[in-house]
Amino acid sequence: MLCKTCNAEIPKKATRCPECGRAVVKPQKYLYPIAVTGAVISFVGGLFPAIQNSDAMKKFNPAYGFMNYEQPMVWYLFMLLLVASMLLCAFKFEKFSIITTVTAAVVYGITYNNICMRHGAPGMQNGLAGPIIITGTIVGVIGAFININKFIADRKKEKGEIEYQYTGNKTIWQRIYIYRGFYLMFLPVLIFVLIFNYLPMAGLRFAFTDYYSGKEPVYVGIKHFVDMFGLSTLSKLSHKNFLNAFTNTLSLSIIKLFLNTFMAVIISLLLNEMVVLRFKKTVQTVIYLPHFMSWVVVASIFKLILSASDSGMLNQMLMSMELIDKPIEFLTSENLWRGVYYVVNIWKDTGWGTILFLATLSGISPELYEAAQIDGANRFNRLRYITLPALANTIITVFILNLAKVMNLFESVFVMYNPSVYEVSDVLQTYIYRQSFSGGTANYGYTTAVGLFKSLVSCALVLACNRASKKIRGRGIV
Amino acid sequence: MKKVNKLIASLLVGSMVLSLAACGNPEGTGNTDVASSEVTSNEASSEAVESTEATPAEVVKPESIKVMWDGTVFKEGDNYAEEFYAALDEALGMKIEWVRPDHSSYAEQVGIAFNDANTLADVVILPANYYASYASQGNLWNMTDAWLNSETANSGRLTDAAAQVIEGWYVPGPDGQEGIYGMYPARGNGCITYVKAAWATAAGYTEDTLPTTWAEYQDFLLAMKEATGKAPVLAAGLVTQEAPYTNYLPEFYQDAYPEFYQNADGQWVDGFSEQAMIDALDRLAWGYSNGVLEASILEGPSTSDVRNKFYDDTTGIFTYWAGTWAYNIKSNLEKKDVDSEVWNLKPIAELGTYIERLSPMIAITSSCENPEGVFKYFIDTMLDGGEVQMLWQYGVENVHYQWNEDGATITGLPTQSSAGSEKESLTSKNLFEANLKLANFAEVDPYVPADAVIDESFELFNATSSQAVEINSSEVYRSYSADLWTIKNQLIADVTQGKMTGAEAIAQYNEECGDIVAAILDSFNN
Repeated sequence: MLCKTCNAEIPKKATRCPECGRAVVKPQKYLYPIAVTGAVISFVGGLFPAIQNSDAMKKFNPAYGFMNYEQPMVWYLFMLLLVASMLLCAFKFEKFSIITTVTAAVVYGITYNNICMRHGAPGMQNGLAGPIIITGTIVGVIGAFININKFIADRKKEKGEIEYQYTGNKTIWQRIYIYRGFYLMFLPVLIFVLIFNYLPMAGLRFAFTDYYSGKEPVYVGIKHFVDMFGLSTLSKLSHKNFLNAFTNTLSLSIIKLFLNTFMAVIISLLLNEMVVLRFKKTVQTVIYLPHFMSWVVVASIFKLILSASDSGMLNQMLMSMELIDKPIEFLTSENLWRGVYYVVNIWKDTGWGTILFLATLSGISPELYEAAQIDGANRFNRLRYITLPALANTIITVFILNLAKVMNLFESVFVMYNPSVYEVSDVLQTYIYRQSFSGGTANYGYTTAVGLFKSLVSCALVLACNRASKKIRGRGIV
Repeated sequence: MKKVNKLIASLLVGSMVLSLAACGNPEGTGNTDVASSEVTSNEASSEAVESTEATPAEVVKPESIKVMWDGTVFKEGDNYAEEFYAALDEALGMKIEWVRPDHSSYAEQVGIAFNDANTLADVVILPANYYASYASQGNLWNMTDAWLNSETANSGRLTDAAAQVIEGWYVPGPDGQEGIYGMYPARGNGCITYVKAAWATAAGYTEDTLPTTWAEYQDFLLAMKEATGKAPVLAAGLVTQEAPYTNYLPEFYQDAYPEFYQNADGQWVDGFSEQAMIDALDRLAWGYSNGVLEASILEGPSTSDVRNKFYDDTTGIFTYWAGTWAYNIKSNLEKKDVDSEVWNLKPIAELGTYIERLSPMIAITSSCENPEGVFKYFIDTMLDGGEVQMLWQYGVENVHYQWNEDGATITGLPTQSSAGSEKESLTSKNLFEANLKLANFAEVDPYVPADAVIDESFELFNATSSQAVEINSSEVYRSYSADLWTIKNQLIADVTQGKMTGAEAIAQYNEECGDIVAAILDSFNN
């Protein structure tokens, strides 16, 4: 290698030019996104059927997949090889990814051949897996030679732009070695996350199978997604129930999120204005308490208060005051149930939600208020121009964090709903629960498909909100 | 280096293309003999099960077996279960490993257990609807021959009711042929309607003038409401989620059945779309609008809530299990200082008979390596008419019961709570009640009822009950039954609340579910 300043020969492993002393910076290594894309395409291909529409297939088993091939380890091997390809690209060993990507395709080819022999029949059509995997392999191999990031960087350099990435002259392994203590401390967490968060994701493959309790999973491709979206003959009812649960989940969660956040902000502001400290602490303790009650207890309490039967305290009180002549069906009326649900949620969780806002409020400098007061700002203006802007970041952060959980509505609905109000109360989790445990044998395949869809929507919501945060505030939180 | 990389890549791509091309023509790959090569692991396992039936070998007594059971026998820490386990091990001469999930979540747990054949128990007890599903899937051992040749079946000790009950054990197997895939040593029992004497008297009725028809029952309910100012009837939901579904509100449902059943012609039909269901829904609507059905019935009360309201004198009519529960009801009313006199209502004319539910079933799973041995030495001994039957029926001598001085009868001993303290009530049964057993003892049954009300309720039930209809299952049924039950529950609630009529509800049901119902009936009938 020659020095770019003095053109002198630089020995291997030298950190500086022996002639002019210029620091030697190792050439930048770039990620090969096209190679990664190829591996991802092949990975997705592994979820599609190998053959389908065979005369030998049963009525409700229209596809035979690589996934439920008699030797499932082969499918795992295929998927692992592609994950290895992605990791190799991530660690800048993109050339080696060619081996794993192509080996995966070879594994598929051999398996496909065997599947044809075992399950093929006249009239059989090839499934989508083959074309997708071939495409992925070609893209992956070609991508390992096309350094698109370097191309982009060179174009930027030509335009006089400065590279945004700073890598120094140390490789990733050197950096890991230098900070090995930190990485060692992180290792248990990594192992925990891999075992408990990532390993269970292997179960997502059941979304593409018919998996009844007591039976081996049978690959059915995207049948459950077709059912979910009402695209098959018998799926009209499933689609109606699913869609109802999906829209209810979104509307209940998002309205609840807005109401709870709004109420928490209001209560925080009110608490912040309290000057008698003992009273303020007492109020805080009282409003925190409901958070620690289980939903079962909360539901029982509100049933006692709101029941339309003789045991419903509120109805009995209103009737004894002659304000109503027959009980109001708070818990079984479609018009009232949601209102009751929001009130119960606000009662239970608003107090707890004020903690972060109160912490932020206590961090606002009193000098700002004093200066504003000197400038003639009244209490409302101080709230408008000092308190609320200071709270804005916390509100958005809390909002985004809670948005990640909007699809996880279950316990609060499960303990309060009943068939009279399914139309307005049934959410995805309760729908999945009924599908799994309402009698007979459960189809875990369908419920996993609904769960997978729920997770994707949840992820999309978080990313969208984070993007919105970047637009509005200039930075996101994830 | 780049050239080497490219060469390796080219070679690998080439080998991939070749491997794919090798199977490009499926017709040329020896697919003509598909049937012989298409053996899934399930089919393989069911074939393995059948092969054991086909080649009867010497029955070997297992040294140990694994049994999964719900809360229907004494549980650990509750009423000396360990003594029962030890006594049973000794009597059977083999070690039993018990798996005892919580009773309330048993159905979920047993469903999960079936997912792993390696850890699945040899013997499981299954709710009736699960029994049909697992039998049709091939997860249970076909014990038809074993039962027909068993000592119990040929002992001559079977009760008069046994033949009808055993008929209900036959369900379709994986091959569509009906067989016995499980058994239970007793009848399923059922619910009868209990009426508080004080409420009925206040309404102007005596035990002899209790209603006998739906019209009279309507007047009776209205009179009770008039006299007490309270809604007399409450049940744990408008319809239960377990067969026979209508047993908590029999007077309202009468001959309606909200599930698939086999009619007199042997054809499977959908009970929910029949005229009888329209009429039943309208009766529920009448009950709710006239305030005779307690309003909380729509709010999803548990059976415990319903019992407590009856004990608290909030309601006056309660349809619940015959037998020991009659005594429990009486004693709980006494504890609450409520008039404890309760009359048993005979089924009204339109109802005809109370329904005897299908009992839960004790089945041998297809994971069991020695099903013949487990049947002979575990299941067939449950009704041996002697030592083992005493254990299943009453428990352990001097722990759960003791012999009276006459040497022919027994008295229950105080029960133990899960906290370890002794309760006032006496042990009256272990797995099943004496009145419900399917086989008599070789000698005289030492049973002495704890209270006359137990026998009175059984007498009425035995005289006026009929067996619940058979349950069926198929793949398409399993796929859509949860969705069907969702809409059924909604429609029942909507009609009860007066949002629509029974006829409108069933029309909506037919419109939305017609295709699914047709597919299910097709799978059942063909």
